[in-house]
Amino acid sequence: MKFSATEPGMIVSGVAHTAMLLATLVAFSDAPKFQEAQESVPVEVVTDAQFNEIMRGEKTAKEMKPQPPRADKVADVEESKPEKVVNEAKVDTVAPPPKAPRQPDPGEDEKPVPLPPQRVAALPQPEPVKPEPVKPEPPLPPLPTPRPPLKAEPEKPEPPKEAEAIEPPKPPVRPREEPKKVEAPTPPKAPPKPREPPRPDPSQIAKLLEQKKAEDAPKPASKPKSGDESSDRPRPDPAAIAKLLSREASQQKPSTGRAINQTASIGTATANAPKMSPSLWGQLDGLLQDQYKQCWSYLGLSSGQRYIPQIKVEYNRTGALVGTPALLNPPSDPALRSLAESALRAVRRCDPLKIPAQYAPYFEQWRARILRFDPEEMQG
Amino acid sequence: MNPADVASGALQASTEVSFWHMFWQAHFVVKAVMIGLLAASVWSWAIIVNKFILLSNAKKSMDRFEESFWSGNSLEDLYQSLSNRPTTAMASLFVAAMREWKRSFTGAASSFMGLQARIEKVLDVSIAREVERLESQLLVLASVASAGPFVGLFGTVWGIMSSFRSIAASKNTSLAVVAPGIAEALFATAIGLFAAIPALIFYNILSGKVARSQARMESFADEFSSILSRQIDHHVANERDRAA
Repeated sequence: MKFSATEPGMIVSGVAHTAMLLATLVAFSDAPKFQEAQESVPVEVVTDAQFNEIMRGEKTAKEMKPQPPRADKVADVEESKPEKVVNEAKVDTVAPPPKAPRQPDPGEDEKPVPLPPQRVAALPQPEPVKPEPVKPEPPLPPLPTPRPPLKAEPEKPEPPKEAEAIEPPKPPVRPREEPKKVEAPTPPKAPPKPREPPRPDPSQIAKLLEQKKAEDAPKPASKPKSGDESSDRPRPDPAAIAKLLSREASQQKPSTGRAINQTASIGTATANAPKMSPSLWGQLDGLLQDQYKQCWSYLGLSSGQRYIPQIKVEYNRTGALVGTPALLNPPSDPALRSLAESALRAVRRCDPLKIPAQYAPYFEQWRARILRFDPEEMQG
Repeated sequence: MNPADVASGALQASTEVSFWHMFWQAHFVVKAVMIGLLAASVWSWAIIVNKFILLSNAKKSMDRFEESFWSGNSLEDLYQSLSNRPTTAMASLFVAAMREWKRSFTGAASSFMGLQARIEKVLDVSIAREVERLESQLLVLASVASAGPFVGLFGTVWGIMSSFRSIAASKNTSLAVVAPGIAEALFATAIGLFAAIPALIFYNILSGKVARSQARMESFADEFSSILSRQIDHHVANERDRAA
């Protein structure tokens, strides 16, 4: 390309390009920054009832290590444990009511109830018998027995004043002091030993005794043949009975304890409160009806008009009334006012309503109810 | 330029995003592509300007020539006035044809045999020469138009490639690290399009103009050759009369 007057293209184009480049350098010297976008936060409104039905628990709750249930006694028959659910259903299934107190069952009651006294009588026996094999040991205290636990055993033999067998609980405590007295005179040569016996603190000894008892526990079964206990007829085994009664392991057994676990639960996978089934509703209705029937006394003549007082009530978890029951449809006819009044009275009289514990998980659903007091139904 | 340098450069440049920085941080291949495309843009615009001037001049001269040609003046006078100076377009056709005509008459053995064919050939050659002059360098525009985007794309691919390598080297994928490299790579495609789009548009416009000029010259050549043919026949008839 030649730079000539007739062909000024190169110059024109070069100048134009440089001018444009300069213009862009100036115009685009700094890229515009994006505006900081404000993120909107979605808000969800949760009603009171929904909030109460939440079962998800605390996310930060301490995880409870499953610890083996405390056993004081080796079971004769291994109880069938509820099988672990391997694949938990993700569907909303109604959770079994927790900690439902056992309903008194007339059929079942008779057998287990008499048991406890028998067992108490049976327990002491192991001790009187045990001593015989162990007795040889007391004379040989210095020899082996490097471990203190064994030392506790020799103590037991002494208490067996056979007569005292009547008092089962005491033996564990008393024997502790006596052995010292007995031992001290017999082997005087052993001064260190007296020191050792005191060392095992009462709790340890008690534990040891318990262990011993636990070891001995199976023996009662064989005991009868010794014949010294006339009261010992073949003991009905509760575990065996339970096994017979329920062939298949129940899904979940309510666990009762001395104290309720206070740690927050991590919640269920579905995080939904159980819903009452229609049959449960029916049962609850029946229960309430029965209770209110007993409280309601109305001796009115059925007038021509049919009037059913409807009373709105609200309960708390224990079944007691919350607030005042409200009559929803006050009668226009003054003659019917007595009917409405009686219904209100019945509600107040029945105030602490007895609601079985099995309905506790569904509290949200039966908390507020409208009671209908139908005079005809009550009479019939 | 190793990837680590690129990465550190990209990190520093994240605050500065001017065109100059984008150019300066680029890989040298990308830089070469950008410079080449910018040069192509300058060149194609130069061609566009020159061609516009050339074509408009050619059109003006053709208008002027046709005016004087059809004004009824003697062709001899017109030839005398035009043959002395460089001519363009139609005038050059006229001069070439008249020169051939003159040569056939001034020679000792004036030969009318084949003069018609010779004149046509001369006109064709002149047309071809003129058209070639008009459309020279239009192919450059066509090349820039078709190849520019590809060259820019090559620069972009190369730049993105190297910026990915620097991402891998710096082990950081935050957008602030990735963005400058990709922006400078895209800059190459932008320049390619910047060069190619005007080149394509003006190539179409200019080649249309050239085709119109060519058609005009060809029609003139046909007319002029028919005039000369008539003259030739006239002369041949005169000669025959003289001979007879």
